[in-house]
Amino acid sequence: MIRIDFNRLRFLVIEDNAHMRRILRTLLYGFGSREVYEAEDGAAGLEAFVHYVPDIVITDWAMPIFDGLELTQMIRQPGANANPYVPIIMLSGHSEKKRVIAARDAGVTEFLAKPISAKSLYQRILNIVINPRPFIKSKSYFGPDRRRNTVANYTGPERRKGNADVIDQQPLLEKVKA
Amino acid sequence: MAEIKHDAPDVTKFVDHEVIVPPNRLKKALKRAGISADDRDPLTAAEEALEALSVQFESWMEEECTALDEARRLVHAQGLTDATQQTLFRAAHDIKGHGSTLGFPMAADAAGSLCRVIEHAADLGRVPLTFVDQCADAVRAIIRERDDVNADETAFELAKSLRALADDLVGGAGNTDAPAEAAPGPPLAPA
Repeated sequence: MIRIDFNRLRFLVIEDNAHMRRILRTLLYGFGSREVYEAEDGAAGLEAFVHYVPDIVITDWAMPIFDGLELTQMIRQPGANANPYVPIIMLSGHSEKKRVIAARDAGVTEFLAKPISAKSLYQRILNIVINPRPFIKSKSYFGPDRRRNTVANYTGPERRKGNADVIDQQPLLEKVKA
Repeated sequence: MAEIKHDAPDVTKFVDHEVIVPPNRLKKALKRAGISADDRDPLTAAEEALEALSVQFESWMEEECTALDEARRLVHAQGLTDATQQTLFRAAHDIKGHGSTLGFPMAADAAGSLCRVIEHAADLGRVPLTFVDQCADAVRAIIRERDDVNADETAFELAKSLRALADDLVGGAGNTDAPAEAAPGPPLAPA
């Protein structure tokens, strides 16, 4: 059976509430991670991102200085830092569709609505590690491919010129097994 | 086909977009389970750790409540300025976001009603401060009375009535300048 070795992953948690940081830290250490860095606001989070070069970023949405959405947009600036492709999990107390879409369009990799649980966080991280998505760069967007599924009877506008299909990526799990 | 550098992304260009496959830095984290005796299920381990931490949740909620009370006190003392509004919203938003995780879902709902009104009321100056008090008092009561026999039912009714008040305030019954698309409240499942 294939499993994630959390000991090999470095996390950055950006969350202004100390209790929630404690919960996330407890969960990540419980999963087996030994490198969990923390920041209390968007500015400190950006600084920590540049300094620690984490493998996965977990950020809250609502934070002082600048929020998780702005932080994501800064990280996703191509060429602006060492790793604009870093997986970003957005935590939020908001779960309305427009919020999820806004986070997706800012370039987050996964969205996790509060309340969080060990299982929900674990599943997001598992998906990030096992099913990495390619990135799309266009005039108006840079981030993970927002198309996750193929809709057979789609009749809406086609916004991509050229290859407009969902980009099939063999899950990493299959690659490892092969 | 050009040789791909190990640490360079693979870029395919189209007319109006590029598809970029970055180097996979996370594959280092995959391993075969069950090799050593120390190979515990990570999810079980995390859940147990969270369970051990949960003894502190009630005191944490008390702290969040105190922050909301202080924010409410500031609003009464200084009025609903940008600063006091932000402080109040942040305190309520924290309870809304964390209350369920800490075991107080109805407190989260009550705080959520306050958040909705702060965010969506067309003119916050016309929202009665009694609504702020009702929300803060409800959150405090839900936490204080959690060991009561009828705690769940009481908490549910409190949250429900606040939701109805918020619907009135945001939907326009108590606010004639409400926008056309006020935020509707999601359905409230019984606790």
